[in-house]
Amino acid sequence: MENKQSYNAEEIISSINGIERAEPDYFLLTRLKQRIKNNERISIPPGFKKILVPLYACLVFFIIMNMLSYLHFNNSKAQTVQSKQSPEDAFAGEYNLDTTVY
Amino acid sequence: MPEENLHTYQSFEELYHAYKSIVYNTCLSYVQQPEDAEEITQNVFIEVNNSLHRFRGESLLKTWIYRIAINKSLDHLKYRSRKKRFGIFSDIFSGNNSPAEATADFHHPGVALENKEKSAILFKAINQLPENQKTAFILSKIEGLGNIEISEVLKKNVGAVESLLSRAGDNLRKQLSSLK
Repeated sequence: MENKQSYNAEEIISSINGIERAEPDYFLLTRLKQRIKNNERISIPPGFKKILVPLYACLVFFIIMNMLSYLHFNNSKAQTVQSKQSPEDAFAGEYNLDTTVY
Repeated sequence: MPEENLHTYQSFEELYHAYKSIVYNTCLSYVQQPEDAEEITQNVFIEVNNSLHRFRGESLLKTWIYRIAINKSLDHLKYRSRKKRFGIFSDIFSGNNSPAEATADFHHPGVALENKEKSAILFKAINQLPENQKTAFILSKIEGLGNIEISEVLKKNVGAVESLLSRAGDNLRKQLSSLK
């Protein structure tokens, strides 16, 4: 049984002996030329490509910093608003006094 | 057989005609779909066209083109498996209800008619091999390269290539035996 299986495997492996090359589609070159032409039309200069990555990184960094600073200052402003109390109110609050002026 | 000197090619068209068959067949052996192989062949020649000025001639032109074809094919296989893995999600978001990838039997057009069925089984088994073993096997058995040429393409020594081929053969035999 083992021999038969091994023989079959060998037979399968040798099935590609003498394999011939397949040819791509006849119009592949035409399509390829068109693609190259299109790529050239919208190509970015190689020098500019090198600048793009750091430029993008800087932009992302700038956006993140802006968001963080906005959040930070917004929170501190809210805290300031909360603690904004007139001295009379603070005094009255501390000694449980009524601040109503008659 | 294409010439190995870059300067023998007067135009891109000449270069294409000299290497189209090599590139297309290598890609076809990896991706096992004629449409995908043609797409990758285009990508390979675009890459060749874009980086020909950077080719320093340290290796043969054929070796360099083989390397590009292999890398592009492997990238495509990785992309395909990624697409398969996340196919469910992309189908949900894109509203696409078609199956992610058809895995039909691959019949290589260059195989003799009486061997079509057996070769389809073999190509399925080749698909399961690790990348390096797959490359060594394809270059040796399908492309018909010698061990020295394969070692140049893979940037490995000849001993390593022999070892890869031997392991690939063992793995294929194991897989094919377990099919019974």
